Amino acid sequence: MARPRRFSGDVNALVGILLLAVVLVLANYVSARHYRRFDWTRARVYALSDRTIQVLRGLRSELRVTVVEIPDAAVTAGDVYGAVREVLDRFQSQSRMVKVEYLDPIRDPERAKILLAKYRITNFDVQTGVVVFDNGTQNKYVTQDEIVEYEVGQGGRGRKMKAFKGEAAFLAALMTISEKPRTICFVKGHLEGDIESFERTGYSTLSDELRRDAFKTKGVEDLARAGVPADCDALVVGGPQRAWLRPEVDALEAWLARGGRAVLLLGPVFDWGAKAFKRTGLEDLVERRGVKLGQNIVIDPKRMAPMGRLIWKSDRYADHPITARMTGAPTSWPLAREVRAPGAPGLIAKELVSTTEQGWGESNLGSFDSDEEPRFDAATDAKGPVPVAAAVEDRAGGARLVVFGSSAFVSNAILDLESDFNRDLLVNSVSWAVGREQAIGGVAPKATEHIKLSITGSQLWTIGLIAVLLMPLGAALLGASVWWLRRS
Amino acid sequence: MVNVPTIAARELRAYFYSPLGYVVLAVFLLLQGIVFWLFMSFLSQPGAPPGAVMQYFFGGTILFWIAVLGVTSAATMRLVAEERRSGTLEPLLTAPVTSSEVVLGKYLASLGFFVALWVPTLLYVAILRGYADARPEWGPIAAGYLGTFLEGGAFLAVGLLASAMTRNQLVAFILAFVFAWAIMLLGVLENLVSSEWLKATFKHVHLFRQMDDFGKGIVDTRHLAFLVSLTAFSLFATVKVLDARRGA
Repeated sequence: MARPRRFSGDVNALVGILLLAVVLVLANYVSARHYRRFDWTRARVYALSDRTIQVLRGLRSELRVTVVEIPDAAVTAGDVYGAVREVLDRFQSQSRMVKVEYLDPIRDPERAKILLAKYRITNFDVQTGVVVFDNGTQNKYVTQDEIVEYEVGQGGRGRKMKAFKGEAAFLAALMTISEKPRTICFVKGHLEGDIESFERTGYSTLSDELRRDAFKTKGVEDLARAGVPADCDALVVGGPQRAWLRPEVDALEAWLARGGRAVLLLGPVFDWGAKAFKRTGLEDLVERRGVKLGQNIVIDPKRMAPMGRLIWKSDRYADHPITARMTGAPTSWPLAREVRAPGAPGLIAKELVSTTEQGWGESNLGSFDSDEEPRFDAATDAKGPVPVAAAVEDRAGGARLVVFGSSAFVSNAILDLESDFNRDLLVNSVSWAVGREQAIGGVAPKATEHIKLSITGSQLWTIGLIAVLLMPLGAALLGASVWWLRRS
Repeated sequence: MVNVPTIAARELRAYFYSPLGYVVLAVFLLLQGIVFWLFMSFLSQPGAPPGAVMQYFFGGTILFWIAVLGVTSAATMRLVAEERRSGTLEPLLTAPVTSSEVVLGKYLASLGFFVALWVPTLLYVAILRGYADARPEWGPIAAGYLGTFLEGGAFLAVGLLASAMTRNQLVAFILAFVFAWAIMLLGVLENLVSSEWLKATFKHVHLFRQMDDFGKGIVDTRHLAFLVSLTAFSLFATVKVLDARRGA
């Protein structure tokens, strides 16, 4: 009878093991759906902000997030993708509406090709990886530059991740695509930059960049007769070369008075031989709104770009929502004039971008028509730092206005270089103008723990001696002593 | 469960009375020492990537895993297999102790030995505090040790099951090592499958990623659930294997 009893015992054991396995699988299934990720770091580096949690918990439709990663880029960038994965993992822990997929374009080129075309991802952006947010109706992708703040190593060698801004960038993307699409109208009719034009002076790249941020773009003309179309959430005046007619200026003025929003790119229009720029008809309008355009060309020898003396770079930004997330992100300024914001009663005006103290506003316009090297003249030139952009808000009337002293800083020629952050500055300006501040910033970047070791060669040898030799040797000697004691 | 402390104490003494225990400790400290020294020298370079030394120390290299798998397999290989070979298992099982008490006692002893192996590595933290500009954070270090404890505990339970399945110590060691590697490699399959739920399943059991989280200072309840489940399952299966032997 022993054999049947053993058989039944074995079966019982097997059933017991299987039952426990089922219970444990179920427990793990439940734990995978309802989990918490505790953050034991001092600075709560990995914890989401309350604001992000609130937004995620409010999601009512599926949000598909696709991380397009390039392994090589991940290595040079440090642990960017580890941090991205962490944030998205936490997004998922807050809402089951968030679905995350990781795509390696090298392993899955066909799918990557479809994705790049669908979301209009540029080849430049994809090289360092992007994170795409798609809620079924709108989408937006975030680039690596938007999620990482770098610092350059000693002697200009190596880039280290100084701070991770992923949560803020992802939240901005999420909120951008959650809202109804805003329409940005580009005024035509005075030889402004054209959003359809692929020429160097055109704005087709700018239009693409705005669409990437879930804006719609379109051209509008004849403001004098038809006024500003009702579906325009903001107007962009991109460098008029011909003067606006009085009725057109009045139409814009009336629109702003009704709380309209506008971004004006009022770069200098040369009138060769004259001592001042050609008038566009908008100078008085902006002055009434607290912004004064200079009759000069701003240059900054300390931050001169390699392309020529009329292009310089700046990363000196004011404390303003438009530039809140642009720390360490330089912008290029080709052919820019001074834009001061003395303000006006009832208006809040702020100068956004400026040169260094070594920059100035060259008022001798004739010097640019010759080989003469511009020199600072304290009597006539504007002394640095010279501002080249300003934002004005009429809290009572609701109008918002951003004025730039360069029309070319977001032209195809500059944006196609893809080396600076001009795109971000303009998109941020448009976002602020239409009241989409949440798409610009709000969540502070998280500083990554980077413990700097200061070890000399001899100290390293001492550590090696202790860790690799003395500690194992101590264990071996202890063992030998125990063995000897027990033997004796 | 009254016999558990007695059995655990007897087994723990056996670890420290045997030269093999110290050989394991010495080899373990040698491997961990090399890992620590490599990271110290690498992260003190001017162009080193950001991150704390201990973050990489816990699970950052294959040497970490070899050490954990090696010591857990070695620590458990003789626990049941040797008793079966020498014929002391049957008297133990016929004594008034339950299989659960035997398994739990032996498991706790191996866990105690595993913890004892890691205690000297706290000296690395002291060294780090002496040479880093900024004081390393205790939170991620504690999480790293917690992860190591839980993963080691799971592998010890797997090792104990392997030891109960054979009477040969060497076979038990190899079985434990192979089982543990197989469990570890399950997570890697995440990248090789396209099915969503399979991906999620493999991700859930991805031990490398779990240890990476612990090293960074993240304690995820999913990782805790999986590691405790694996431990519980292995211990329960060991009890059932011993029960089957008791009935034979």
